[in-house]
Amino acid sequence: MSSNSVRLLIATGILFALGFVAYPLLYDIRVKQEIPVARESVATEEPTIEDEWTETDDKEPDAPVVTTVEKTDDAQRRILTAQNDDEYSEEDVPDDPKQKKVPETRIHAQYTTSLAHVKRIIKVLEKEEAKPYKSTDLVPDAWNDPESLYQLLAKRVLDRLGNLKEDGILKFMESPVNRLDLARINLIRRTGSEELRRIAELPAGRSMLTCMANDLRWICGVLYSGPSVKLEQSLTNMELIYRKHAEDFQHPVLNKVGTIAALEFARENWSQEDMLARYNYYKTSYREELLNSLFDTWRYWEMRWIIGCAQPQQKVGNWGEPRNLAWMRDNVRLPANQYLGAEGQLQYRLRNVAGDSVFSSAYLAPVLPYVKGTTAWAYREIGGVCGALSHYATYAALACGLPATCMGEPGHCAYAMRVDGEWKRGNSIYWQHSVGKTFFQESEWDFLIMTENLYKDYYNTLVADQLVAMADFLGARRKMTASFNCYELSVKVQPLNWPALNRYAGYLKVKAPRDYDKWKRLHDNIVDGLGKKHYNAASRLLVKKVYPNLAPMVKDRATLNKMYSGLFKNFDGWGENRWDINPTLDAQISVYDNNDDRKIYMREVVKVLMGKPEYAGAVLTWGLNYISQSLSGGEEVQDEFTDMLVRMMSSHTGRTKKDMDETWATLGEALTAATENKDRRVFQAVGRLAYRKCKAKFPAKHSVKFRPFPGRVVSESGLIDTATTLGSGQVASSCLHWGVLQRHGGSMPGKFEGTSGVTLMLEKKSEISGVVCVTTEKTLKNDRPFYLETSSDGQNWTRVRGNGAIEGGVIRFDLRKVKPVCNHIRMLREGDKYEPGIAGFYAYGKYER
Amino acid sequence: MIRRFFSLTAIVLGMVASVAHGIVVRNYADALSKAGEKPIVIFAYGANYDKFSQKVHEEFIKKNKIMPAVRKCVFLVVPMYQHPSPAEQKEWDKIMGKHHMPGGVWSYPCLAVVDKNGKLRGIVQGAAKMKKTEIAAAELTKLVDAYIEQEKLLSKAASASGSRKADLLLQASNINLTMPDMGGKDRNMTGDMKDDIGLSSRLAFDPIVLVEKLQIMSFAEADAYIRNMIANGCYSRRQRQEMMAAYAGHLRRNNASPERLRALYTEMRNLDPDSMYGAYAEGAIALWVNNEQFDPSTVPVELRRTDSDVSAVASVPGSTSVDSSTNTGRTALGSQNPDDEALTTDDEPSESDFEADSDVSEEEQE
Repeated sequence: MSSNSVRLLIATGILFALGFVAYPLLYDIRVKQEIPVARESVATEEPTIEDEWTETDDKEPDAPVVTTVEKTDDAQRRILTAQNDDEYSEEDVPDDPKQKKVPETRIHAQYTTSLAHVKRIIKVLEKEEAKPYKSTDLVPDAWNDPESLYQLLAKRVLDRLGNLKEDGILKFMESPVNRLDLARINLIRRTGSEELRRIAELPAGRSMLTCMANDLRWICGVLYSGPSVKLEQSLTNMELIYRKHAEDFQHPVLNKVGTIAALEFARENWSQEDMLARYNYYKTSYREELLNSLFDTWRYWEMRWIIGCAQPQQKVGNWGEPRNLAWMRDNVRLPANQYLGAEGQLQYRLRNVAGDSVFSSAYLAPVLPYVKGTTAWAYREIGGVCGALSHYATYAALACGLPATCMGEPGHCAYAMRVDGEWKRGNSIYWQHSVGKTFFQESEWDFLIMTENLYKDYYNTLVADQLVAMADFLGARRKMTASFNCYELSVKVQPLNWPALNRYAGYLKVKAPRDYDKWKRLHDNIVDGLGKKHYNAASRLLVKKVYPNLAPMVKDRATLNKMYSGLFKNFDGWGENRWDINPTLDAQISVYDNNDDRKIYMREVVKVLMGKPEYAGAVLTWGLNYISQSLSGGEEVQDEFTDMLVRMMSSHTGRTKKDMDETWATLGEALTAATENKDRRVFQAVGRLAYRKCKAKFPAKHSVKFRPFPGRVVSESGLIDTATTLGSGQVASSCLHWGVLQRHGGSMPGKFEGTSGVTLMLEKKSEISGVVCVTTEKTLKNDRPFYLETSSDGQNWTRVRGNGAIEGGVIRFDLRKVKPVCNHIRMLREGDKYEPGIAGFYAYGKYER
Repeated sequence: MIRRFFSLTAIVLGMVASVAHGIVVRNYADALSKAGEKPIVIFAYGANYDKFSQKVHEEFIKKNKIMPAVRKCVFLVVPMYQHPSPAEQKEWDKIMGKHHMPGGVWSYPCLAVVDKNGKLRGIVQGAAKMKKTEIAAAELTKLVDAYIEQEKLLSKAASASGSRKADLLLQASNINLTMPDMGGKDRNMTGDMKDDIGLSSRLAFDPIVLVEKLQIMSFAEADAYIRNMIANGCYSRRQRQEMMAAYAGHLRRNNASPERLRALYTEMRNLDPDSMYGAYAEGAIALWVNNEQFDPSTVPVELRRTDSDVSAVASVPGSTSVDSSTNTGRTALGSQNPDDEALTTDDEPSESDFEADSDVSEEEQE
C-alpha cells in the first residue's frame, strides 16, 4: 500500500469521525432553520434527493432515498381525509391546464402499445416474486407527520411521472421503488393522515407502519388483495397483532395470516379479541404443521376465505371459534377434494333421540359438557340438518387451511368449496346461492367465480389495481386527463376488475356525466369484457352504473333497444350459474314511459332473450309479472301484452321432442312463478298454453272414477298451490298442477302438515256444494282425518268440514248442507306429515251473483 | 459411522419385528384374500399434503413402532394423495386397484380395522389418538381384540340354531364394534330364526320412531310402553339409553316434575355413565333439574380428549380387552340385561386366535 493511500485512508477516517460527532448537532440546527422555509412550501426535501431521482430516471435507483420529513406548520398542514370507494375529492393544488380535458375515447386498437408495455411490467413483477423488493428509506419518525410525508411522496411521484403520458406512467410502474411510493400514497390517502398519526402513536404503530411501507409485497397485500376498506381499523388491528408477534411479520406465510386477519376482522366489524384468537389458531396450527400443505402456497387474497371465515366469536354454537376449528382440524383431516362431501360424516336428523327439534336450544344443550362445548363434535354425536351438515364440511376444510364458504339457498343451507383451484358446490339443491363470504357484497355464484378469475389472473390484476391507485392519485391532484387514461387502461388490462370498473364509472359520473362516447365505450367494454363470461356481473354493473347515465342520452329508441339486446349477444346458456334476469329487464324497460315503447321493447329486446332456450321460462315469467304488476292501462292492455308475450313464446317453440321438452320446462317455470305470485290469470294462461303446446305431457283422463257433486266445476279456472317446496325437476313439470284442476287431471306433489296442505284460489266468489280430491294413492292412510277450510280473503279460514270421506285414493267433502260461499278453499290433514300425490282437485257449486 | 450403525440396526430390527408381527401386504386385493378370520389393519395417511401424517408415518411405519400392536393381522399401508402426480397415481392404483377406502374413514392418518369383505369394523382416527404411538397402539389392540371376540361369537352362531344362535348374535352385537354385513352368503344368520329373544327388534330399533310414538301418549302409557321395551331385555345399553332419552324428553316437554326427570335421567346415566348418552343424562340433570348452565370458557381451546385416558390404555399391546363390566348391569328399576354381564375369560381373545391362517408362507410375510 502506498503512503498516499494510507494518508487518504487516515483522512477519510478523521472526516468520518468528525461527521459522526457533529451530525446530531448540525441536524438539529438544520431542522430549526428549515421550519420557516417549510411554511412557504408544502414539504421540504434535501436537494440531493431530487438530484438522485433525476439521475436515476431511467434506471433502478441503487439505494432508496432516506425520507426524512421535516415538520410543517400546523396552519399549513393539509389534512388528508380517508378516501373510500365512492369518493373523488381533489386536493388544494393548482389546476394543470394540460390536464383539464377529458381525453378522447379510444378504440381497442389504440391500446395495443400500452398493453404490450403492461406485459413487460408483468415480466418484471414475475421476477420480483422470487426476491420481493424491500426498502429502508422510510424511517419511523416520518409517521409523526403523515401530511408532509404524503406531500413529499406526491412530489416525488409527480416528478418521476414527468409529462403524465401513458407510456411514462407505465415506465414509472416498471420500478419497484416507484410502485412502493405509489402504494404509500395510496395507503395514506385511503387511511387518512390523522388516522395514520393516531395509529403511529400506538405502542408498535410507527414500527409496524414503517416495516409495512418499506416492504412492497406486504403493502401490496394490504392494498391490492381484495377489498381494502376500513383501513384505519385494519391498521389498528394490525398494530395489535404486530405488537404481540412482530417477528411473525417477517415470515412469508405468517405475514399473510396477520395481515389478512387485520383486514378481514376490520371489514367484518369483528372484535380484536376474536381476531387475536383466530390469528393464534392459524399461527399455532401452521407452526405445528397441522394444516394442509396448500396453506403455505396461498396468496394474500386466498387467505381471506380462510382467515376471514365467519363466526369467530368464542361461544358455543359457532363454527369459526378456535375451539371448534381445532377439533375439526384434528378430527377431519382429509385430502382437499374429500372435504367436498364431508357432511356425510353427520347423520341427517330433524330431531334428536329425545324428540327435541334441531331448531330448539334443547337439541344440543345436554351433550355440550361431554363435547366440551365443541359445535362440530356435538353435531357429529347427535346429527343435524342441512345447516349443521354444510357448516361441518365447510369448517372442516377451513380448519385445515383450505378455502370454503357456506351459502344459503331457499330454505336450505349448502356450501362452496375450492378444489383444485375451482369452486364447487356441496350439499346444494337449488340454483339460487347466496355465498356467505364475498369480496364485493355481491353474493351470487357468478360473483364468486368472477372473484376467483379476477385474482387468479394475479399479475394483470395487480397492474390494474396499481393503475387505479395511480388514477385516484392523479385525479386527486387535478390531473384529470391522466387520471382518465389510467382508469381506462386499468379496465382494459383487467376487464374482470369489478372494483376498478365501479370506480371508473363513478369517476365518469363526476367528471363527464354527459359524455355519450365515454359511457358508450364503458358499456361496450363491460359487454365485451366482463360480459363475455360473467353475465350476471356485467348486467348488474350496467344496471347500477351505466344505464342510469347512458340510457337518457340515447335519443333514438331503436338504438337503445339495439344496445339493450346487445348485452345478450354473448349469453351462452346461463354462464357460470343461473341468475336472476329480472332486475336487468326491469332496468331496461324502466326508461320507457309509454306502452307503445314498452311493446316495442318487448318485441325487439325481450324476444331476443326469449329465443335462448335457457332464458325463455325466466323471461316469460318476468314478462307476465311485469304485465300484471307494473303495466298501466287496465285489463285490456294487460291482455294485449299477455297475448303478445304468449305469441312470442309460441313462435320460439319448435316441433321436435327436444323443443317440446324445452317449452314444457319453460312454461313450468312460468307457472311456478305465477303460483308464487298468486297470479291466477297468468297461471291459467300458462296452463292453457302448455296444454296447447304439450298436450302429450298431460294424462288423457283419470285412472279412477269418482262421483261428482251438483253444480259446475268452479275450480277449473282457479289457481292451485301445494305446500311442497318444488325441486328443479318438479318446477319443470309444474304445468301439471294446472291439469289437476282440469277434467283430464294432472299431477302435483301434496304435503299435509299442520296448516300446510292444498290451497285453491277461485276465479270468482262461489257457493260450494262439495269438493273432491283425487290422489295418486290407491288407498289413503285413514288414521287421521282430512278436513276442509274456506276463506274469503285467503287469510282468515273457517273449517267447514272436519272429516272428508276417504274412498280408496279419493277424498270427498260433502258441503251441500253447509253451502259455504268463498274465494279460497284449502284441504288440510291432522297429525304428522303426509305426502300423497294429487291428481285432481275439484270444487263444485255455482258462482255467486 | 455410529449413526449409520444404529440406522442399519433399526432397519434390521424393524424387518425382524414385521416378520414377527404382521402379515404385511402390498395391495388391498391381497389383503382381502389373506384376511380370513383375521382383520386387515390399514394404516392410511396423507402422503403428500399433510406433514402431521408424514410424521406419524415416520414413527409408526418407518420406525416400525406400530407393528407390535398389529400382531398377526394383515397389514397394509395406503398413502393418500392430494392432486397426485402420475407416479403417485400409479402407486395408488397399484395398491388399491379398483377398490376404494372403506366407508367410515373420516380422518387421516388412521388405523382402520377391516374385515375380509372390506367392511370397516373399527377405526383409530383423529390427531389426538394418532399423535402418540402408545395411544394408537393401545386403541388398535382394543379394536383387534374386540374383532377377534366378535368373530368368535359369530362363528359359534353360524353353527348354532334357534335361541342359542340368537343369543350368540346378541352377544356379538353387544361388542362395541360395527357388526359385519348380515345379508351375505356366509352371514345369512338371522333369516332362519324367529325373533324369540328380540334380535330383530334390536336391529330394527329406531329411536325417532319411538319419539313419534310416545308424543301422543299419556305419561302413564309412555311409562308402561318404555318399561315393557326395557324389560324385553334384547336392546343394547345405548338403545335403552335412547329409549329413556325419548321418554324423558316427552316428560320434560309436558312439564313433568324435576324429581321425576332426575330419577329418569339418573337411571339413564347409570346404564353406562362413560358413554355419550350417560354424559347426556348428566348434562340433562344439570340443565333441566338443577338449572345449571354449561360454561365453555372453563374448557381449554385445544382439546386433547384422549390425553387423560393415556395411562389407562397405554399398557402392553394385547393386554386390554373391551371392558363391558363398567357397571353392574342393574338398572334403577332392577332389571337385568344379558349385555350387562361381564365377559367370561373364555371369550377373551388369546394369541391362538391369530393362528387360523398359519398356512401363510414365509415368503408372503415381510
